[in-house]
Amino acid sequence: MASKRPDAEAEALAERWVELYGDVALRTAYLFLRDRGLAEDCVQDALVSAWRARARLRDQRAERAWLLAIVANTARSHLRRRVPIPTDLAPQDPATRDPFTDMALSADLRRALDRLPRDQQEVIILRVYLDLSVEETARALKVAQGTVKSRLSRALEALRLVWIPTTD
Amino acid sequence: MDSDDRLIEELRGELHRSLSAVRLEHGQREALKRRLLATGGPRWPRWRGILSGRPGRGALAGMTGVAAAFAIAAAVFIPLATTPHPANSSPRLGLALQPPSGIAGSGHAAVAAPGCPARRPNLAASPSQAQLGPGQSVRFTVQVAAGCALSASVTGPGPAAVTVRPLATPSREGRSGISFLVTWIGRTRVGSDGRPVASGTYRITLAVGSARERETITVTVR
Repeated sequence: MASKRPDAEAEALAERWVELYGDVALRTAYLFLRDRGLAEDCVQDALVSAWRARARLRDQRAERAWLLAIVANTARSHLRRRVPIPTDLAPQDPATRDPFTDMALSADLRRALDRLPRDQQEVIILRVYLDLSVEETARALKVAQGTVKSRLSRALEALRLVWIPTTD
Repeated sequence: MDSDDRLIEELRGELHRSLSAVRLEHGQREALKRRLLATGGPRWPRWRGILSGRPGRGALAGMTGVAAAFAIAAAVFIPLATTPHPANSSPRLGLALQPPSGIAGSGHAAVAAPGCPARRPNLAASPSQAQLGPGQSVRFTVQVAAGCALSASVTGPGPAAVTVRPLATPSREGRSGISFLVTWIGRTRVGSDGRPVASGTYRITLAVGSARERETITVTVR
């Protein structure tokens, strides 16, 4: 069988990444940033970074964890250098917030997550929402596996006090 | 399964349910693929701003729709044109408006762009009507001729809001025009309680620049 042209392979890979990971990347970025627009920017930056570094990915089975770790770290980086919105346009009260903020997370869950320290929220996003392993989460956050376990344990302990799961 | 595992499963399920509506739009998927294949290309448009209709809030309160739309275009485009954000070279504008709380509402939102052929704006919205339960949201796709500014106003029995977002970068506008996403917010967000909008029939009137052509979307809230 004739091999594909390199550009056709690249097109197929871009198609696969966007279709497989586009939405979950956007949701991950959204969990970090809580702003649809910033999350969209983050996804673009993260996927472009991953695309440029894709030759470094040796084990294709690790593709999902590798790519979503890049999304998570790009979101953390966006958080660190977040620029305030000009005063006239800033969401000063609940009536002028980003409409997508309220639509995406239930108020109870948002409040519960907001009570957690940032490092525990990050573990919840990676370990719980993305279902990354302890090892993958530790690698993504550049911390020891024991740190991931202890942060998760503390986060669950805190959540148990303030969050009641929705029953279907 | 111990209690931690159970809580993790419940939390995971809730997060997946909550976030299921957060998706890339079709145009964004295509733009992202193009950007990967030509890394270094422009981001999809990210123009954003918020117009509040509440009296006494913000510099735009009390303006007419046209004046407010012009003011927003100036307020957003001019600063961004002169001082681009280092991490955001092609900003997006999406405007939302909530009329004053407690009265029958009218509101206005707009996305501006230069160079619209005023005689043939080719305004078309799909779908043209929706029936919703309280608190539900719906999105409409609106097509206009390339280079056109789209504005949307809402009238109805109570406060309501829409946002307007372009789906394609101006540089990629084709002959068929540019698409916008008009999102019915589904609740007032006036005040902090997130009350659902009053039941009744609302009309979203879409207009393009100075053209006379109008398109109306009817939203019936049960």
